[in-house]
Amino acid sequence: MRQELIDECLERIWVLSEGGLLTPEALLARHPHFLTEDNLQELQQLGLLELSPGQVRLTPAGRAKAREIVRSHRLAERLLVDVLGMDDRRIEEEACTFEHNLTPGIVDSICTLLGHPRFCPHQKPIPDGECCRRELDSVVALVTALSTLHVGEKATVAYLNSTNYPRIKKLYAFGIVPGVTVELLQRSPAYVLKVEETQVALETCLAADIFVRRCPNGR
Amino acid sequence: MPESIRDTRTIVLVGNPNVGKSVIFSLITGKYAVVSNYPGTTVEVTRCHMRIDGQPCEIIDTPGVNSLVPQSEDEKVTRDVILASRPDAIIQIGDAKNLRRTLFLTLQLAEFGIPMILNLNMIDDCRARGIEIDTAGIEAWLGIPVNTSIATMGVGIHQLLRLIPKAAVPRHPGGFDPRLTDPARALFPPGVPPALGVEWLLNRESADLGAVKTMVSQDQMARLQILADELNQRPSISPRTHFDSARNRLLDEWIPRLKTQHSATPGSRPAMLGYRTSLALLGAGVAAHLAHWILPLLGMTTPVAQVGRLLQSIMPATAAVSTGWTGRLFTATDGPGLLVGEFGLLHPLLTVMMFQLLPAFLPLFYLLKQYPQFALDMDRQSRRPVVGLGILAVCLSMVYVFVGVVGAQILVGFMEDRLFGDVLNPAMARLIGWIPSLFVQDLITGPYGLWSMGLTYAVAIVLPIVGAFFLAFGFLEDSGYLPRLAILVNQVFRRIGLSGKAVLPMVLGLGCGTMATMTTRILNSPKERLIAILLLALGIPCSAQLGVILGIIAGVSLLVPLVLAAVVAGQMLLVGFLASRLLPGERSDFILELPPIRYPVWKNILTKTRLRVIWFLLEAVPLFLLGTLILFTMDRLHWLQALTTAVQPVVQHFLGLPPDAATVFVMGLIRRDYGAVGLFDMVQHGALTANQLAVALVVLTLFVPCVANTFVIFKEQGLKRAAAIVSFVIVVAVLTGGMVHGLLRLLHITL
Repeated sequence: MRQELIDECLERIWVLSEGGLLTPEALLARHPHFLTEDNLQELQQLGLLELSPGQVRLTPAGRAKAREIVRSHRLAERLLVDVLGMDDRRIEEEACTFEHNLTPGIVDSICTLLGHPRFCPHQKPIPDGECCRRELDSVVALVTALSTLHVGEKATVAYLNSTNYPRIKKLYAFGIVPGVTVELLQRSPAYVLKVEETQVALETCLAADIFVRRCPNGR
Repeated sequence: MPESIRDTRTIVLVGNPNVGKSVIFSLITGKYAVVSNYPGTTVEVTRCHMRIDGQPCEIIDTPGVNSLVPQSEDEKVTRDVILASRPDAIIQIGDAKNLRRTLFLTLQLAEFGIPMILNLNMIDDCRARGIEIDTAGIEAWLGIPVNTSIATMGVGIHQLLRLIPKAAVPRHPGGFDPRLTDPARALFPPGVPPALGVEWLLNRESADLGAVKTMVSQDQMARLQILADELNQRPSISPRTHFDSARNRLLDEWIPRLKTQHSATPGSRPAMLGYRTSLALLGAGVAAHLAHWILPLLGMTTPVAQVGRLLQSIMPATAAVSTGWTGRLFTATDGPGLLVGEFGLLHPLLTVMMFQLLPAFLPLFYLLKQYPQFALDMDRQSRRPVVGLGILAVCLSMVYVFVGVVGAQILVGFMEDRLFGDVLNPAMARLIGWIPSLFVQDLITGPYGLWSMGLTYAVAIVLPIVGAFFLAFGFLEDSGYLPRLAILVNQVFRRIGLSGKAVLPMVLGLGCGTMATMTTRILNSPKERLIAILLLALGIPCSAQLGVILGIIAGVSLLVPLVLAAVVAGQMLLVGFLASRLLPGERSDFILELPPIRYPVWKNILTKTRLRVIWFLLEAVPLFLLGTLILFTMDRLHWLQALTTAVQPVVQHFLGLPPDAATVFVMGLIRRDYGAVGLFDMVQHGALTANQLAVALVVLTLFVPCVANTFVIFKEQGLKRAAAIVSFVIVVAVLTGGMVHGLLRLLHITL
């Protein structure tokens, strides 16, 4: 079996298992094209998968591998959407070609560059890497938390790092959406942002969800 | 259906908060809707029937919304008005300078397929910032007529009226994934836009479909629920964010084409005084104001007192000039002396205004009017932590002098002693003397008489205080200052389960708790609303009560108000803290729009004050009379004595108050300020020691809200909760009073 196919299978199994317990039948039904009985057997022989009646589990080695792939895929999606500004309906395929060609070091660099995002554009969790745990900032972050801006600095909203939908909707409703330029006017006792021509006051926990791209000449 | 009803066209005004919907509503209909310079003023729909070009129309004003996927109670109201009334046309009012937010809402409204007009308001403000908007471009893009207006000046309203018949169904630019909208389109009844419908279905926090529920069968509802579960499990598209992303993509594409930014050219007005000179004058004015507090602490006399004495010495001279009965009535120092007599209106008012208020106010108004820079500076400073608190303290001190001194002391003194005491009451007594029945005489002018108690209290004591408060509050809200308070208090309010936004109803509660209780609807979560209503009922004294309390403590040791403030504030923090822990539900995150600071529109303030005073008179005076009547009846039937005797043990032993105080609390059940006035009487007759006064004030401040407020709580929260809140408040009030009494006695403290 080709390496790329193995990766693809592991990734699908990881994504499906995010939804809960997996049975071999469900697995085979979801992706009949490449999650075939043969392929699963082969993965078991490679020591990446444990098949038992009624349950499919990734072995620790399989988990580690799958985790890495999913991480690269979702970070690639973030990169395409946040930095290259691609339409989030078109990124799926592009991200798929990325995930097989990135070394772990580069993945960590991308992660740092993007400010260690926790969710992909589809709001699925991004598995954390070594860089997130150590909060490496050696690469100057292009995308950064709002809280790192200076008072008076302008930046473009890159994404909202949250799965709390009412919260995202609330920020959206005040015009704080990806692509909009905001100016940080004040940090304490509450954040004050200038969005378009309006000042919006918001408290720290909301501000913490906003990630921005620094403007080159932001001051 | 009768022809007149079928022919009525329904027109709904919709828009973001604080864009001027209510101003435009008033201009179109001639009916006044409460207008302020902060978001969340309109919490209910206002309707008005009128004719446009001979066509009968119903115009509906709605609370401001940022999105039609509602996040708060008032946003739900707007959504449901559109769904339920199926209007013939929607007029969207938008803030021209915030084009993105405006068009975001336009895109949502477009999904309803109802004819629309877009009215971009505050176009002057937009131009002043160098922003130009291509209205023809918007018309071409969405296929709806676009109008511009400056509502506060009445510009562009006629054009808007003329456009109403031309309202057109917007061309929706689409961009949604059909896999999400198609299954919903089949399930929702006609009139429900499928994209918004899916969002309402998935909106977990306020998981209700509101008016949609009344439009679908139970079977359809169950199928919608299944659809929601299915959509949530779609692996590749995220239905919760898809629609917003799609709308934002459209805006990303179109906004740059529709909006051009030139460098702003701030209009320079000729100014008589330089900026720095005016600032220095303002500083001096504020210093003069504060000197009133500081000088007595240093053992010096204030200018107010000195000039008061000076004026008093020349009073006889002015009195000699005016002769005849007018002289006796208005200026005589030995007679009634309504204006310049020793206790008349004019001279204390003049001195307070000249030395405490005007020196600060005049430079402030001048700066706001002449220098746009000053508004920007004020805006920046007033939200900063330390400077902001300083500005807040000066503001509160000014409001105190205006309401507490000008309103509660000077105006009340004038109305109560001069107008009622010297002129009206004797005249009334003479008039009543003609009536042969002693019972009727007693009913009108007896100790619990409708005139001598009910009307005198309402008109002579409460009205001047409430009027002064509404005027000061109107100024603060129209200048745009109030929402900045929310930033300053947010940290404290967090601890008691509220967000900073709750400062608006709380400050309003200092004016009228009933009004404030209704305004809690701007808060985003049910838990916050409940806590805010509870705290309003518990500890926020309304202006009537506050005024009387200020009047009482003006004459006693400084320790009494300190104890009162500490106990009440502590009790509110404690109750709020416990409520935030014990009540189920979540506090919502604090996010609030800050309106620009501006020179207030005097006409707005005056109209608003007038309407609020009228509202107060209509609401409160009948209650005062009813309360008096109840007291009178109870007194006649000796129930008052019975009730007073019943609560006397508690009052006498637990609270350590004279037995008469029981009457005060019984009166307080009808209106809090009613009780306060009773207490005022007792203090004037020297019936209370300072310790007793502190205890009585604590109980009375924490005591039950007035009848009107209780009624509104019942309307907002239901009978069970209203009853729970009222009984809780009574128990807390009496227990706290008892504790203060016990502590003072235990520690042998004499205030």
